[in-house]
Amino acid sequence: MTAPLLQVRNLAKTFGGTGGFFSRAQPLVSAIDNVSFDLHDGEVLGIVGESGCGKSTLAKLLLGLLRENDGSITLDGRQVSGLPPREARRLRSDVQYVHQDPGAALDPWWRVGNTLHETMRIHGISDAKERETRISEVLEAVGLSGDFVNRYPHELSGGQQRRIGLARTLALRPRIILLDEPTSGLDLSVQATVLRLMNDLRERYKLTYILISHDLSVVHRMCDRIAVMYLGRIVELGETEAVFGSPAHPYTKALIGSAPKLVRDDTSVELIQGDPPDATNIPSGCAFRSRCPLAIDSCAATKPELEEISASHRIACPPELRRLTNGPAASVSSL
Amino acid sequence: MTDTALLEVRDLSLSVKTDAGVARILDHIDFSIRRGEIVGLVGESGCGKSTVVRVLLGLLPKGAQIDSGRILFKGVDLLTLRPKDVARRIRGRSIGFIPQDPYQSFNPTFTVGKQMLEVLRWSGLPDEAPDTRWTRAVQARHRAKLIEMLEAVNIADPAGALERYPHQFSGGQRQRILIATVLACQPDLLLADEPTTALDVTTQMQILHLLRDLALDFGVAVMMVTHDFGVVAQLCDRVSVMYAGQTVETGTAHAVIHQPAHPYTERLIACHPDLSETIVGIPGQVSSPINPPMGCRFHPRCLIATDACADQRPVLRTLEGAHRVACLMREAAS
Ligand SMILES: Nc1ncnc2c1ncn2[C@@H]1O[C@H](COP(=O)(O)OP(=O)(O)O)[C@@H](O)[C@H]1O
Ligand SMILES: Nc1ncnc2c1ncn2[C@@H]1O[C@H](COP(=O)(O)OP(=O)(O)O)[C@@H](O)[C@H]1O
Ligand SMILES: [Mg+2]
Ligand SMILES: [Mg+2]
Repeated sequence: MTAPLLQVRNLAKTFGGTGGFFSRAQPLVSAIDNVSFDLHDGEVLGIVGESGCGKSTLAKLLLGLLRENDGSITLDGRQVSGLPPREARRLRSDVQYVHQDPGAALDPWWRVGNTLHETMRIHGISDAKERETRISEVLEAVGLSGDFVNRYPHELSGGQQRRIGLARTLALRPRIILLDEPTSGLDLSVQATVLRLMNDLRERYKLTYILISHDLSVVHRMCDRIAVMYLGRIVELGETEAVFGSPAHPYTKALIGSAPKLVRDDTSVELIQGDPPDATNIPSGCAFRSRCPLAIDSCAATKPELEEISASHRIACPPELRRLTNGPAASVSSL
Repeated sequence: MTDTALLEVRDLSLSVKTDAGVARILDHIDFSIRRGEIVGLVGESGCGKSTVVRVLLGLLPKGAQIDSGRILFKGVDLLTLRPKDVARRIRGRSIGFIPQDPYQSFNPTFTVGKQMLEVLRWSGLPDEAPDTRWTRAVQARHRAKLIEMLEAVNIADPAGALERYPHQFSGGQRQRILIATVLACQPDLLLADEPTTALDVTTQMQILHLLRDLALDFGVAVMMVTHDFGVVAQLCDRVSVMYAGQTVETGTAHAVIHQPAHPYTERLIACHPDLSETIVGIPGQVSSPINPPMGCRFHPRCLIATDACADQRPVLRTLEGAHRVACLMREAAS
C-alpha cells in the first residue's frame, strides 16, 4: 500500500479556557480530542456525528484555518501542522473546502462569474485569461451552461448553488476536497443528482474527498471508509461495509437505528435519549456513557482508545462491553 | 364516531398575481384529516406544501386569491370567515403551528417562560372566556399549565427551563418547548411544517416519537409536512402526496408506501435510501406555478406519460377503500 496522502495524528483543539486581560474566561471546550486517521489517495472518507461533535472544527484544522493545540498533520509526507495559519494555508492549497451553505457563501450582490474570478485571484491566479479558461471548464464540469456567470445567487436553485460551490472549489485545482454537509437542506430527489455529480467529478479530476455529514444514508452510499465522531473523538472507524454491516460501537448503532426507515418498527431500535452533553461538561472516561444503554461502572474510569476489532475496523469501546454489543439484540443494521 | 373528518380540504385552488404572470400555486388540492389522526403532506420543495399550511392558518400570501374550494374545519368553512376571525378564533387556538426552524420563533433577549406566557396570554386556555383579564391568578394558572406541558415533552426541570434563554437550549429542546407551548392551548389540529429537517437524526427520531405519543395522549390530530417517506412511515396514519400544487395521491401510509399508484409517488419513494444501494433521484425539477405544463403537471418528468397526459388533467379517482390517485395511465390500466 502506498503512503497515505494525509496523515492526522493525535490532533487536539480546545477553545476558551483562558481569560484575556479584558475578557472573562470562557469555559474550556475540547472540540477535537486525540483524533488520528489516514486519508488515502482517491478515497472518500466520511465523517459523521451529531451537531457539535467537532466536524467543522476538524475541517478547519485540516485547512489550516485554525491552529491545533496538539498533534500533527502530514500532507504528502510533509509536516504542515504547527505553522502559523498564513504559512499553513499556503502549504495546504491542495486541500480545499466546499461550504455547508453555498448560498450563504456567495456574495448576494455579485454575479457568479465575479465570485469565481475573485476566488481564484485570492489564491494567486493573476492571469485573467487563465481564469476565464478555468471558469468555462469547471462550469461545464458541474453541468451548468456558460451563461451562469451572469446570474446572481438568488437566481439559483438549491441544487444549482451546490454546483456553483463545487465549481468554485474545482477552479483552484485541489487534490483533496472537504465537503461540509453537501446535501443538507436538499430534497432526497435532488440530493441524488448532486451526489452523482460529486462521484463523476472525483473520477474526472482524480480527487480525494473528506465528506462531512450527519446524514448516514449519504455517507453510506458515498464513502469507502467512515469515521464516527462523538464529542470530539472518533469512536468507530472502518470500511463502510464493516461499519454499516456490523456496527460495533453503541453510538454507531444508535445513529443507524435513528434513520427513519420505510418500514415502521417500534421494537428493535434502542433509541438514545436526550442530546449530547454540553461540550464544556464532557463526562469522564467514555464521553458517550451518559447516553449509552450498555454503560457499566468502569466506563467512567478511562477514556477508551480506538482498538482493532477486525482488519480495518476499529472502535473505542472496551472489550467487556463489546461482548454485550455483539449479542443477537445488536442486529439493528437493516440498511 | 371517530371517522368524521376534523378537516376537509376540497378542491382548493389558489393563485397569486406576480410580475411574471399569474401563479397557480394550489390547483385542486383535496385531502382530509380525522380527529386524532396523523396525516403526512408530502412532496418536493416548491410543490405548495407550506402554502397549504399558510392557508389553513388564515395567512394568505400577498395578492393571493382563492379560485375554488372549501376548507371545512369542524364543519365550518374557514374560507367564509374573515381573516381577522380566523386569526382570533382559530389560529393558535384550535389549530396550532410548529415551524421548521424553532430558533427563529424565539426572541433571543427574553426568557423562554416569558415568551411562552405571552403566547398563552394572547390565545388563552380553552376553558377561559375570550375576554379573561390577565390577572396574577390567571398568570399562575398559565404557568402551571406550561410546566405540565414541558413535562409532557420531556424537558428536565420545567420550572427552571422557564427562566432560561433560547440559546441555552439545543435545537431539539427548542422544538420540544415550542410543541409544549402550542399544545398548552389544546388545539384539535397541529400543523408541523418540516419540523425536523434542521435536526440531527437522533433528535429527529425523538421528536417523531414524541409527536406520536402526544397525538395519542392528547387526541390532537397532526398534519406533518415532509419530503421524506421515511418520516411518513415512522409517524403517519395516512398520507397525501402533492406535486406542483396538485394532489396526486392519498391513502393510508401503508398502502401508499407499499403500493404507490402514482408514478411521482413511486419515484419519490424510490429515492429513499432503504430501497437502493445506488443513489436514486428524480431528474428535472418541479415546474413553476406560472405557466405550468398543461394536462398532468408531472408529465414532463414522468417515464410512462403519453400524449393524453399533456392534454387532460387527471382527477382523483378511488382505487380501493380510501386510496385515491390522479393519473390517466392508472385509469387506463384498470
Ligand atoms: N470558535 C469557537 N469558539 C468556542 N467554541 C467553539 C468554536 N467553534 C466551535 N466551538 C465548539 O466546539 C464544538 C464543536 O463544534 P463544531 O466543530 O462546529 O461541530 P459540528 O461541525 O460537528 O457541528 C462545539 O461544542 C462548539 O460549540
Ligand atoms: N407569495 C408568493 N408569490 C409567488 N409565488 C409564491 C408565493 N409563495 C409561494 N410561491 C411559489 O409557490 C410554490 C409553492 O411554494 P411553497 O408552498 O413554499 O412550497 P413547499 O412548501 O412545498 O416547498 C413555489 O413555486 C413558490 O415559488
Ligand atoms: Mg458543522
Ligand atoms: Mg415549505
